[in-house]
Amino acid sequence: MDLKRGVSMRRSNPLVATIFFIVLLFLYAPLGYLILQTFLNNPNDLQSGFTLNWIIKLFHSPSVWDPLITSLEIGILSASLALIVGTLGAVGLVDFAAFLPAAVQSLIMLPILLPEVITGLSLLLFFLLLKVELGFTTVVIAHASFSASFVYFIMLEQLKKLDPQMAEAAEDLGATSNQIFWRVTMPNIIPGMMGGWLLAFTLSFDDFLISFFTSGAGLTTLPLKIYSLMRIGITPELNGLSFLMICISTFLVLVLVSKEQSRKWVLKG
Amino acid sequence: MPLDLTGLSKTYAKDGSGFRLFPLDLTIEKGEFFCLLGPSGCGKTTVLRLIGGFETPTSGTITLNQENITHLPPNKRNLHTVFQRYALFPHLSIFENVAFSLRLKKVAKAEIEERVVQALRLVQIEDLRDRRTDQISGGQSQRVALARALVDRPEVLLLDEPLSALDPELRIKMREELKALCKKVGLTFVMVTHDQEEALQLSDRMAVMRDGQCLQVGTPKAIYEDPIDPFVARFIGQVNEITGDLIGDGPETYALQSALGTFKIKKNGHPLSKSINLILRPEKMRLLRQRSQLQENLIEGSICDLTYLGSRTEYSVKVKDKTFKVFEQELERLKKRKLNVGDNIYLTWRTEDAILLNHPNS
Repeated sequence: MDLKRGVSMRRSNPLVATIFFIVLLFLYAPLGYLILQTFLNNPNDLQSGFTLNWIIKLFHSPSVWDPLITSLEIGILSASLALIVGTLGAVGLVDFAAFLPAAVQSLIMLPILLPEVITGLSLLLFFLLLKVELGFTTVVIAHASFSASFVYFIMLEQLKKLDPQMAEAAEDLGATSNQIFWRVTMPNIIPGMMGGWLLAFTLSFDDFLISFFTSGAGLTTLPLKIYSLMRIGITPELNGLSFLMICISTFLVLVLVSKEQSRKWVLKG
Repeated sequence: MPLDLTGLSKTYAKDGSGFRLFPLDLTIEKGEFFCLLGPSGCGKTTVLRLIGGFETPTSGTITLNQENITHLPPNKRNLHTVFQRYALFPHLSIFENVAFSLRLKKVAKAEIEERVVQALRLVQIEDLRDRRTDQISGGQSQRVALARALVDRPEVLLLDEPLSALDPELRIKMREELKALCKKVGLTFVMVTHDQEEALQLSDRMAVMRDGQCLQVGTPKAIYEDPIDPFVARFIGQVNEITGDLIGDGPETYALQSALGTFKIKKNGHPLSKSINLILRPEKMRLLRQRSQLQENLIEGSICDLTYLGSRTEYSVKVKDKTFKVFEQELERLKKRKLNVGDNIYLTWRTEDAILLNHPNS
C-alpha cells in the first residue's frame, strides 16, 4: 500500500517511473520467459508458435499429481503446526518481549537468518539422532519448525498492536485471564493468524532445501520433482510444472492481499 | 455505604526514587460525584488504578461497603472503569460490547436483551446497537463505554479523564450529561481529571493533588473560596498574589506590609506565620477612576490590556513590576465609565474577599 502511494505521488517524475519499470523488468523478465516457454511448440524456439499441449500433457501425467498433492498436504499440516507453535509463543512472550535482552530476541530470529542448508542439515542430524524414519512426518515437522519463527513475529506484531487497555477493560468487566484470551485477544488476532498460516504454507510449498535434507528416499514434493526432472534435462514438462508453481504462489499472494483489502473495506464500512 | 481509602500508598522504585503516592486517607460517600484533580504526574490516575485493582498498593487498605477489597483482582471488584480511550472491543457490535459483563455472568438471554437496551437508552444510543465500534464517533464511543460499565450495576464507576478525547463543544455537553447520569443511577462516580473547570462543574466534592500528595479535599465552593495552599488557589481559577509580612495586631484585623503598600487583612482562624501570601480572585477586585476615602485597600496602577467578553471585561493592570488580572461584569452602573488602555486607575477589594495563606517558604 505504501509502495502504491509512493508511486502515485511521484507519477509526475518520468525518471522515477522509468527506474520503476526497469526494476520490474529485472524482477519479472526471467519468470516471463519461463511462462512464455510453457506455451511454445518448441520451448527453445521463439518462432515455433503457441500451443497448450504441454499444459494438457501435464494434467494427464500422474508423476506430477503425486508431488503436487504431497506438497499441498505438507503445506497444510506444517502451516497449521507452525501457526499453533508460533501463536502460543507470541502470546506467551508478548508481555515480556520488551524486557527480553536483544540477544534472546535474535535467538528467536535465528531460524530466519541461518542459511537453509544449515537448518536442513541440523534437522537431518537431529532426526537421525532420534532414529526417526525420514519421510512425510519429518518434512512436516521440519517445515513447521522453521516457519514457526515467521508466524511468531507476525503474531507478536499483531499482539503489540492490540490496545493493552482492552484486556484491562475485559478484566474490569469480570473476565478471568482465560476468558480474556478466548473472548477478547483471540478474536482480534484472527486476521494475523490467517496471514501467518498463509505465509507458513507458502514457505513450505516453495521450500526445496529443507525438504531435500529431511524427506528421505520415497517422498517427493513439487520442488523436489522439478529438481529431479532438471537433472535429466530441460523438458517442456519442467516448464509446465514451474508454471504450475508460479500459478499457485501467485494465487496465495492474491489471497493474502485481498484478505488485507477486504479487511480494510469492512473497516471502512 | 462508602468507599474508604486508608493510608493508601504506592511506591514504584524500591529505593523510593521516582514517583510515589504518599499515604492517602479518603472517604467517598455513596452516590457522590467525586473528582481527583491535579496536573499530570500528580498521582490521580494511580489512585484510580489502585481502586480499580490494576495496581497493588505498597501499604494501606481499600474498603467498599465495609468489605476489604485491597487484594481482590479487578474482576472480583464490584466496580467498573471507563477508560480514557474507551477500550471498546472492536470485534463485537455495540450491543455485544455492552452485553460483555452479562454474558460472562451467564445472565439469561431475555434479561441480557432487556438490560442492554435499558443501558443503551440511558446513554441515548439505542439506535446504534448493531453498529461496529469503528462506525461510531468519539462521543458515541464514550456513551458505549459508559453503558458497558453501567449495565451490570456496579457500586462505583471509575472514570479516567473520560472527556479529554472529545472536542470542546461536546465535552461541555457531556459534562452535563455525566452529572445527570450520576444522580439518575445513584451510583458513586470517581473521576480523574486535570481540567479544573470540569471538576468544579461536576464534583459534589473533589480532591486536589500534587506530586503524589492530596493537598485538599472539599466541595468545589470550599476549595475555590478557601484554598489551604497557594498551589490549590492557583490551580483552581486565576489569582493575583501579594506577598508581604504580617504587622500589627488589632482585635479583628491585621495589616500586611508589602512592596505595594500596607493592606488590611481579616483574621480567618488559621494560624498565620510572619510571611504571608495575600490571594485575590480577579472577579473580587474592582477598578476605580478616582481615589476614594471609603476604600480600605487601594493600589494605584494603569490598564495595560483589556478584553471585552460580553458578559464581562478582563483587564490587565500594571502596578510597578506586577500585573493584576481584574474581571468586571458589564453592570449598568459601570456603563458610563469608559476605561481605556493607558488609563490610570485604582485597584480595590473588600477586606473579607482576600484569601490569606502562609508563604510556602515560611
